[in-house]
Amino acid sequence: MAHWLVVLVSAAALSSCATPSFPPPAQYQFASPHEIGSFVNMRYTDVERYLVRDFLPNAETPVWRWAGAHPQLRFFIETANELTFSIDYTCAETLFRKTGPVTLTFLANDKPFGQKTCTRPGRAQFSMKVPPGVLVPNAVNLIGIEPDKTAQGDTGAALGFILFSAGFLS
Amino acid sequence: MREVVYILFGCAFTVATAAAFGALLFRGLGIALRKREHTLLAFVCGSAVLSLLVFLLCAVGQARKGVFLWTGLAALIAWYLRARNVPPPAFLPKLSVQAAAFFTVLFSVFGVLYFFNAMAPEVSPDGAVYHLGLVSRYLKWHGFHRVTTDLYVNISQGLEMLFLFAFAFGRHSAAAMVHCAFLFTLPLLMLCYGRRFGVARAAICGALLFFMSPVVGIDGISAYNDVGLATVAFALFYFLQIWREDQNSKLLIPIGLLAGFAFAIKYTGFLAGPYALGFVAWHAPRQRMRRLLTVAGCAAILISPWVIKNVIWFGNPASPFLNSIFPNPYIHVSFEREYSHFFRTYNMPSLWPVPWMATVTGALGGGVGPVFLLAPIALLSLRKRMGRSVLLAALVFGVPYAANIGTRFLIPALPFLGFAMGLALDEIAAGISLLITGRASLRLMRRTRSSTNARITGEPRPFTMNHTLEGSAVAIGLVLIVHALLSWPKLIDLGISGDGGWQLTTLPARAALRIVPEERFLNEHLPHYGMARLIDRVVPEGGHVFAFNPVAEAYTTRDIIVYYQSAMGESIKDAILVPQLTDFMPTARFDFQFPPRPLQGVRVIQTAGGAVPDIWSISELRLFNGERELPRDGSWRLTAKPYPWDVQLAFDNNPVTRWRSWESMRPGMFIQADFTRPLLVSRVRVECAHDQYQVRLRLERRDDSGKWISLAGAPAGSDVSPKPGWRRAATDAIKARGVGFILVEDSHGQAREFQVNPALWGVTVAGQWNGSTLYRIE
Repeated sequence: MAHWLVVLVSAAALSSCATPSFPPPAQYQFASPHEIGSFVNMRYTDVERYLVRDFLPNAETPVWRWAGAHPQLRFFIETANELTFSIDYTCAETLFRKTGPVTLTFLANDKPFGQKTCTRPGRAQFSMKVPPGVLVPNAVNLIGIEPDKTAQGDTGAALGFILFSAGFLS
Repeated sequence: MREVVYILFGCAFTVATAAAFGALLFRGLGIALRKREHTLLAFVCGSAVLSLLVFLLCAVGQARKGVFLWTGLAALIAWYLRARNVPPPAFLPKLSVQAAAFFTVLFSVFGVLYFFNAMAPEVSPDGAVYHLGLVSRYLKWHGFHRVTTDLYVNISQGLEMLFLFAFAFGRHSAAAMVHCAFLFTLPLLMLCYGRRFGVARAAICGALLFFMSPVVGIDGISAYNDVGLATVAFALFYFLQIWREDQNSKLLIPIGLLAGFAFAIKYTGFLAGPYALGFVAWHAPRQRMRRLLTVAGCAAILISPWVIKNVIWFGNPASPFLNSIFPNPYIHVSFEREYSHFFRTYNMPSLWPVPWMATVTGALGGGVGPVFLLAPIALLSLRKRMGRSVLLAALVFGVPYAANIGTRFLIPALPFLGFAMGLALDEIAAGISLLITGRASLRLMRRTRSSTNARITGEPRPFTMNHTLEGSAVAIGLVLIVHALLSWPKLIDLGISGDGGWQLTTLPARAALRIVPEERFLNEHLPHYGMARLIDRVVPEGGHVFAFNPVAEAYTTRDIIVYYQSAMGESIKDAILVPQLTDFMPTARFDFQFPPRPLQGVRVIQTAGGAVPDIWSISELRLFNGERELPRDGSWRLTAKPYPWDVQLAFDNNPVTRWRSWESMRPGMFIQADFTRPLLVSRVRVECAHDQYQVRLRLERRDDSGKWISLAGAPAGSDVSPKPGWRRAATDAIKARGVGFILVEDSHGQAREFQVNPALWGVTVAGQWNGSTLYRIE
């Protein structure tokens, strides 16, 4: 019995020593319906494709962006069924001292579909179910995130909030 | 009614064939056993022989009804001709009328319950899924086929070989009834043992404690194998005790066969071999090595077929375990780790509630019965040699329970535990009787001066064995009656046994006799039966279905790939999750930049170590010269360590498929590409997901001497956005693996995704049944 085991274990161990190798397989022809998706994080290298207007560049810390008075993003929405809009943002303390609570209004193709009030400074995450009929499926949708108040930054530009990420998740 | 005849014939023919083989074996070896025990042990030993024979028939593709019929007839004729005319065997000592009557009543009442439940259509979870799922396939294929997508194919199936024999004639119920035959055999065997060795009362106690236990009942009437293993374990114990007394070397052959058969029935029976060898080594006065080799050799006859099959087909003799020692493409190391951990704990924070759950509530897949809360009294039996032997066997066959705390994994140890409890109750009753009658005798002695005088004067004896025996019988009888009441289905339903668990709840005589049509009974009692039939109607012959939950495979002929049952299943599930979970999405980039240079090969090494449970993965590995990606050439050789078999997934240009290490990250893991001629490369890009937060990468190249040396410094990390179209890429990858259907239960976490976004996945509803939806990949 012991001999049997030794033989079997040795055979298996020897066979496992030779790591198998393979040629590259047939290449999958991935055809994405669009170059952008439904969610963006400011750290993405292709973030510029999502920014339509009113976001300040941030070369030093490319994980967030200042948003101005009328920031707008664009997303390709594959399906409009049961999507959740999600946003990760910050109401900067320096700005908050000047503006007080800020209300963000979310617009899809210029139609509002939700609001969130920033009652204290700091980072916040917010998610909400997207009402039916707000988004156009299988198309690029323009999403505005408009603050009701802005304040002037050091450069003189109107600043509303800091955006880390936003988009639609299923 | 014809079905009933087939079922009974299938079971009876299988049992008779096994018994005939056993009787022939005993006859050939010249082993003389006593009446009753001979028949029972012949059935158990013959089962080992028949199981091996059916395995060999499967191996040569001759698992056919006709072959089984002639095999059985040949065995029965040979038995008739050779074993029939043996001298009449000696009788076992008789039981008292009261003991025999008591045993017969309880055995019969539960026996009727079990008989009809076993004969009813098979609806047990594992029986309907894989025990008989495999059996039905073996019959269809006339033997074994190499199936790499179902881990249950890899485990030993000694009892399933008997099921197959019976299934050929009487289908599912006949197979279940074969297991039930083991359920009926064991208590009778224990009774024989008790009679032979003068511990009948304890044997009756152990036999009925076992037989009436709720989990034993439902397991034994189902196409499972735990009761079969328990019967074989006890038969082995029986033979060892006879051998210890007789020192008849011929007995070592059935001992070895049974030790091997225990492993062949179920991996958890593997300790039967060491137990038998240890026992023989301990008690052999001479020729120890020869005797050990006899036992080991006979055990190997039953063990080796399963081990060799696994080595040949799966590269792992112990598949689906020991995958880190025997790496193979079929079972992931990470799965084995999670699987083992789950069954050791059932994800409970503490194991303290386990005794209560296993005995009373049945929450761990059934209960052995509240009376087993008295099990600690079994330790009192340690005072006797018999008690020590029985408890040692209980310990040996109870050890594997630590690996799976599901209650049915206690079943092989239960006969011994019940037996020891019987011995202990004998001890306790004797002690109490001594106490009571001792005081009485003292009073009597004072009055009559001596007990001898008392006898002479005809006064009652102050103390006799009869007193202790009666006391013990009453104690055991009471325990058994309480056990019977607490184990009876209707009383369990009343809540005596808590929230129940896996247990018998009814006596389905009408279904057993097929007065209630089988189809109707299955639809009512087996939730997935309708889906299994629907799959047969919708999925074409040879089609594969990926499922998130097990399907009643015994009732479908199509191949089901349940996600956790194979490496392929896990890989498919991963592809489905990648487009949905942010952490799984291939949005991370690691770029190794260096001056352009000709390379013969590149290797990306993972260097993070320590206690990192994450699994390393790479979605795509791309090579660039400047901004131009180098097309992947058919002459490249790709490999990885560990798990090289999926390395192509990192080079297939499909973003949702990925090579994964399938074990926790450790330094030195690598993925590599070798080129037949040097390629001019200036950048290597690793595209991967974020579910590996501590990953650290290094890039190496192969130099002219073949050595691997550093090529570039730390990579530049970045992220890109998730892209639309990944869901479709996932189903394309699944279809490329030959899987055309996805089955999702509506209660499963993935159900909503397919219901809401079928077009994105490229699937359409192919059928729905009882809360499950079958999708066709277009």
